[in-house]
Amino acid sequence: MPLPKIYNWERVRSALKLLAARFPDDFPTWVLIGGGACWFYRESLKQADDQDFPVPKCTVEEEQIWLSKDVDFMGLTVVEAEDLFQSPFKPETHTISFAGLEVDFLEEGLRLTMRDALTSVREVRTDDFVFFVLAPETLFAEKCALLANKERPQDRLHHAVLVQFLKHEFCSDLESPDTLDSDDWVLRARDVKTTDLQFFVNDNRFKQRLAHAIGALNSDKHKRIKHWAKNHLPGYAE
Amino acid sequence: MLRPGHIRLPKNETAEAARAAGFERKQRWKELPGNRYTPEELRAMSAEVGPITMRSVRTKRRVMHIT
Repeated sequence: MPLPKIYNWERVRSALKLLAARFPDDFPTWVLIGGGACWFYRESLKQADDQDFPVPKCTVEEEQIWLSKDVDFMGLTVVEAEDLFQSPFKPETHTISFAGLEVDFLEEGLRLTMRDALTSVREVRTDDFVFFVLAPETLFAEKCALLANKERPQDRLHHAVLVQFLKHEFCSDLESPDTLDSDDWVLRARDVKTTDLQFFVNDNRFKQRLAHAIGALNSDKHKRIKHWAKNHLPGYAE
Repeated sequence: MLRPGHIRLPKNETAEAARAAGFERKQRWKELPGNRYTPEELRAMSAEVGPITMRSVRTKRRVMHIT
């Protein structure tokens, strides 16, 4: 019986680096989605080392199912990917094998469309290459839809990481007012609350940290966030 | 001058023939060089418009760093 394939951030990173080197013209138009994108946010959360919002602990069994393949992207149709990789799409695994990697190109998610994937992205700079990853609020919306419609154990693990990452980022952005983009913050908060109505309600530590940081913001410069808090953050008052 | 939408055209053979002739004339016009955007022109225009969604216009793309 073959040993199970070991997936981790280093493996995702190596896969991205290899694809970036082999397809320099096409790679910048692809957006990392799925488990690989969740693992990127898991690694970012780990490196942020936020005591309030740590990376959720996983058992050995959960680690085995955390990631089911190397990398998933949006940005090409299956036919375009087959042409580019010169390798057939395998319906049973929903991947294309290339240079020892299992690569998937998704054309449509439950909520996610190609257009969402191309307009809701972040640029990620590593020491030696750049890639694009689906924005966490959009990935979170897709994960919530998957949880509601499918029974896949890895979706629960990915969802738990995204919740922690989003909470950490909402707080840490507010705690750096010099670089805080109020419009972007409120748009992300709206997206997340649209996906999960209780996101800003249930966690007291999260609410306290948000309220404290928003209370300390300059009323003129960040009035849009203060206005949001008055209407959407339970218990917030100036 | 454009015909207002609430004024219906008559539905008889003469009107149908005029409509068909007009449709053909328009299709011929579309096929003339310069009267239709090429896929390359559409892609270039789309790139200039940038990332727009129905709810928001995000002009800046967030950059993250990871080791």
